[in-house]
Amino acid sequence: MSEVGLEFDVAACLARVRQNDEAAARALFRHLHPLVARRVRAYRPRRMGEDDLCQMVMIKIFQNLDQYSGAVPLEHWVSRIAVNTCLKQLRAEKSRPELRWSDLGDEQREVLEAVTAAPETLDAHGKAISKDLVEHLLARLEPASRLVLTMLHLEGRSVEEIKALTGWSGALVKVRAFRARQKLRALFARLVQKEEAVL
Amino acid sequence: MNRPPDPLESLLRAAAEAETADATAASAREFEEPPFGMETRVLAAWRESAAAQQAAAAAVPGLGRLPLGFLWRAVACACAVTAAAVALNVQHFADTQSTENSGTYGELAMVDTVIAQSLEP
Repeated sequence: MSEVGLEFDVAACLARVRQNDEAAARALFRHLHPLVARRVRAYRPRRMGEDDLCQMVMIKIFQNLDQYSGAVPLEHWVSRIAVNTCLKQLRAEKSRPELRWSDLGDEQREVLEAVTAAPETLDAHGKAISKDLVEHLLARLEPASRLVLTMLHLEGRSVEEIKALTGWSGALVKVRAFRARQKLRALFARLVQKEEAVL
Repeated sequence: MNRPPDPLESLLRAAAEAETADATAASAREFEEPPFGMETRVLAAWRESAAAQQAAAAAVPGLGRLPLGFLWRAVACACAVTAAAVALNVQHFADTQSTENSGTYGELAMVDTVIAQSLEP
């Protein structure tokens, strides 16, 4: 665990990995795994296993280590690979079925009603169901829109952070966020309208 | 009069609070050991890739040590020199042709013919 701690010397470890040092490669894997797991957990498609995607990202990182120039911190480079791999997997998901009122469970319907009437009454369980509902709605959006809204609204990241994680420009982040919010609003309005029609 | 809260904003805020709670719980799991099978497979893929790169470098001696950017610049430079040489050659050929057809050489040939005719008995 000592090599995984705060004193982990990335530059020295990378130099050893480039000399085909097996122990250094193992240490680098253990150093990077928590970061990759965190990114994958946040942005993976719902249907894809976390470990499978994590492994895919780690293999990509190790196969392309010679392309890392050191211009940016290794963590940024790794995060970008993880985010882009998740984005690619999200794009591969062909069907994005519409969320209908009839698809919702009783708890989700109650939360939706509570959110519309009195959002301050939601407890921790209600908030967890809210998150589930938002994820369902986000799953209807295009992958890039889904990603930008997750980062902005669920994780509370700044535009600068999203730029660093995705490699997009600031203007692109803002435009994508604006359009994604409009689409999400339209989806939500349709869901709520259906609710009212059924009630 | 206060505006009623936007339901979507409320939903997003509630989801963000749940996300924060999840992230806190997940951060405790970050120091868990990564799956051993994954580590083995990733390192095997790394070894394979490193061996393939070394084999490629050995197949073309010296190529492996050259940065890709340098190769591209060298190829682009060679193409530019070739293009310039071809352009100069074409220009020279065109100049020569036009001179032979309608320039000084044609006029001189005509003068020669006239002189030759006038000198004939």
